[in-house]
Amino acid sequence: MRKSFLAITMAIFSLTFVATSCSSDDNTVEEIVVKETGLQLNLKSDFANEYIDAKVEFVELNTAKKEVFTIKSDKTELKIAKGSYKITLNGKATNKEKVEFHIGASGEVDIVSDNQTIDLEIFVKSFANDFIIEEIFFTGVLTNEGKQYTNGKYFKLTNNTDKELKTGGLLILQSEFYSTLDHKVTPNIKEKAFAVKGVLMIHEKDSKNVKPGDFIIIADNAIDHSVSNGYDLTKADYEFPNRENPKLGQVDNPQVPDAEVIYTTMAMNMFFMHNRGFESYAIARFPEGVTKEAWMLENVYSYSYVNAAGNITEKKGYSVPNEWILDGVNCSIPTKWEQNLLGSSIDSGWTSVGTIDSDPLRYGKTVRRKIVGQMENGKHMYQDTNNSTDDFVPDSEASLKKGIVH
Amino acid sequence: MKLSNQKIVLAIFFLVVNMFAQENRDFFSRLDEQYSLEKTLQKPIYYNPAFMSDYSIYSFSDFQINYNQHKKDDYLLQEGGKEKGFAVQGKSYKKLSKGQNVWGEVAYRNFDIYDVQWNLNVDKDKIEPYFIADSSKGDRKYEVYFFKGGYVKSFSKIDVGTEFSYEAKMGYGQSDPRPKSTSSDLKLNVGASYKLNIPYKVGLYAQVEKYNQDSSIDFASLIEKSTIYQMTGFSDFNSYFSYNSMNAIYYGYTYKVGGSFKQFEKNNLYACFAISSNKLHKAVTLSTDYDINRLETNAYQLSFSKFFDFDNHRLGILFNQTHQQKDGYDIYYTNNKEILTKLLEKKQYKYKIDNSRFDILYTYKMNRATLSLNGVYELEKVSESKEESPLFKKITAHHFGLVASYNYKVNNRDNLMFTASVFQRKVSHSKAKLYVDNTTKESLRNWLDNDFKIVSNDYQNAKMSLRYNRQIDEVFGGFIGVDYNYLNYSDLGANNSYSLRVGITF
Repeated sequence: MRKSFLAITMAIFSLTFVATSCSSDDNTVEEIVVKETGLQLNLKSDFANEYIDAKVEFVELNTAKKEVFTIKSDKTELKIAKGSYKITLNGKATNKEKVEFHIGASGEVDIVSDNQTIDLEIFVKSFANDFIIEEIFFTGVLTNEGKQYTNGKYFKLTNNTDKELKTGGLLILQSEFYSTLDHKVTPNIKEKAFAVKGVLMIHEKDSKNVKPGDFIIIADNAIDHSVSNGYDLTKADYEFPNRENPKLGQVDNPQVPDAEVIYTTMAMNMFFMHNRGFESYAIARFPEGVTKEAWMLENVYSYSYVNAAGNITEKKGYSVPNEWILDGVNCSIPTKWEQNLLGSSIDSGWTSVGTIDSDPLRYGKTVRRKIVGQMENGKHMYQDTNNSTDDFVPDSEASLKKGIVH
Repeated sequence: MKLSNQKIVLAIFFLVVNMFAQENRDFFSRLDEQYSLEKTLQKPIYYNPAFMSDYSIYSFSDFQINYNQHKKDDYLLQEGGKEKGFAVQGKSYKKLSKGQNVWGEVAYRNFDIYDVQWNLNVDKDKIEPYFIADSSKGDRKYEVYFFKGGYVKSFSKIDVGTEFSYEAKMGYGQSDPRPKSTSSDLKLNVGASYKLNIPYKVGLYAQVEKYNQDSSIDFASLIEKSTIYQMTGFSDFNSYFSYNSMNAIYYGYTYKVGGSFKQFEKNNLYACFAISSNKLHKAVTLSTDYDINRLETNAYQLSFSKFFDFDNHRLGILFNQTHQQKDGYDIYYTNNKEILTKLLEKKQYKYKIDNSRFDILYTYKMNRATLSLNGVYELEKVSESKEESPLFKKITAHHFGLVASYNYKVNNRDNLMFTASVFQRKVSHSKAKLYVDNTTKESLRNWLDNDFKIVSNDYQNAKMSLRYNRQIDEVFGGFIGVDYNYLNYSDLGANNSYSLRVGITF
């Protein structure tokens, strides 16, 4: 018994050692097994006949991995790993008459089975022959004491056309929602209208004419902020100081006309930009004959969503129809982006300042539109494809660092 | 951190066990048995608490205070650089009447580790690769409490034993980001053995382990916050929860069963095996808890030894084989629905380690001294990979070592123990792709490159330990000791540590 046990045990341990030492060192090249599934992508459009340079980007929520596919027809079979995706499409299409359009689309899909289908509605991008947003400074600065200085922010709107434009009647719109938190509101109207929580208006009485290539500054507010490490905005064209909130300590510059806050959900009539860039902004004009009152009467936006506690939150606000919008920019943070707040026809991308939430490096930086050339008068011509991912340079140096120089 | 009432009660219980574990016996012989190399190598036998009935022919108790410092030129960034701290430890084994034995251990450790990076947790080995991590280097303070107690009773042919242990750990940092992790590890082990007619006994045991870790990160600064990553292996991390959550809970159970066959009294032959299975879940909290990862670990261990006696000479061969495989699952969520919803699970991570160790142990017992020489060869194979990705790591390493131990009876009251060892690790194969390309963040690349250089580098390791023991009276003895450890990487720098200890034995 004793000897046989010893023999059996020795045999086991010898076999174990041989099995271990003789197993391959696996010098072979690793084989990557990506468990892809088939996704049928159907583009839904009444006008598009042929797609040119249309690229669809899938971003997976859990891994942040991006997949980009070039689309040439309205039905495409894609191979992609299972996951939860946000989809954006940008490119061009032609109709049957061979007329070319810029197109955009957005959507989302959860891929869990081996064969799935998604329909993506295509929108034609609209380009107004009017002002564009050239730059937005929403981050603020840090004082020498390391404290946030929340004033001194601005919008820079530029005449990117070949004609003189008037500023009277311009509206600056601030999104109701955050790009970093998708409540899945019902109804979702973004492809028809822009839900707003604040609207600034430049009145006709304060209108001025702006030559091609020139710009205007709408500042919060029009004073010299350089004492607090901000920028000198005394030469701004318009300002929106808040005199009702004593904590802000803002003073009016009587030399500079005010852009009126015609609507805000914030207390004390404030129009206050999010300093981490969670919001989208747009510029618009009311159509001929539409007043503020008429807009508010006709464009009430009632929506609801399931809140974190699992209950239904119901809210009421206002929206601005997409047809009234001249230009718009979605802003977000790369690590927090969940949705675009503007319709695909206005902006099918997004831009940012900072790479993470509360990025300490964001202060003093802006989002600025790319320059693509020069106008006849030597002024800059800016890129505008209604895709701010391409059109804007994130984390830009502020153009007004040395004050306002036309 | 204050001791809870429960911990105080347990500490008192084990100290009482220590106090009663006194018995007259020869000072040299008792130390010779208690600290013999053979007993250290035969550790797998005593995983079954029923086998503790013949753990030692002597009762003993030790109580010691230990101070240690560790300086490192090169180190795994997640484990940190310089380390210093102290420990207080009590350990006891007592032979009671009527075939009963009790044993226990109580320990408290307090230490600091500097420059820890990419790891904001405790218990790295248990949760790897699902760390909460950030790119900044930070200093950590740790406190560890450990209690263990066991009891075995022998009947005519059957021994029945049980063992319980509890370890509580806390690690925290005092600069942003400020991690705070607490863990608890509870083990309950029951076993039985049966004496055969031949001078062998067979035994079976079963162990259940419950593990929890609660980690959270805080920032004192309201303006600046660095990114906290919920890592998923190599340079990958869960994108959604990394930027939305700064905490994690780890929880799970391990089940282990084992069997042994051993000659009783002389321990000239034993063989044992154990298999274990563990599921560790990781959850993060937003408005509610979300399980985001699961790690399934399966392992086995085989051990065998045979000893031969020739007068005062004893020669033994020992073999130990361990295998561990970890499969990691990522749990995906979607926010395309009204609320964040679980979407699917993917097996994305795989880790495997095989280790085969051979020992030859020679012991020569003289009148006033015992000399032990231990030759070691160890083969280690490690592989780690991610699914749906080119990332992998493979290492094969050979360890050669020689350990010498000399226990010398100066006189009836004084005793010297000296141990020296040299080890050489030779890496015969190492290959890896640690990140996809240079778009991976530089700090992540630096971490993975640094750690791979260390684990794939040859090294030479020398250790020395000297301990002087003096018997004070019939019951009490005292001791003082020093340990030194020097490790030199062939292509990198050198690390060294020392520790000083003073204690009593009774």
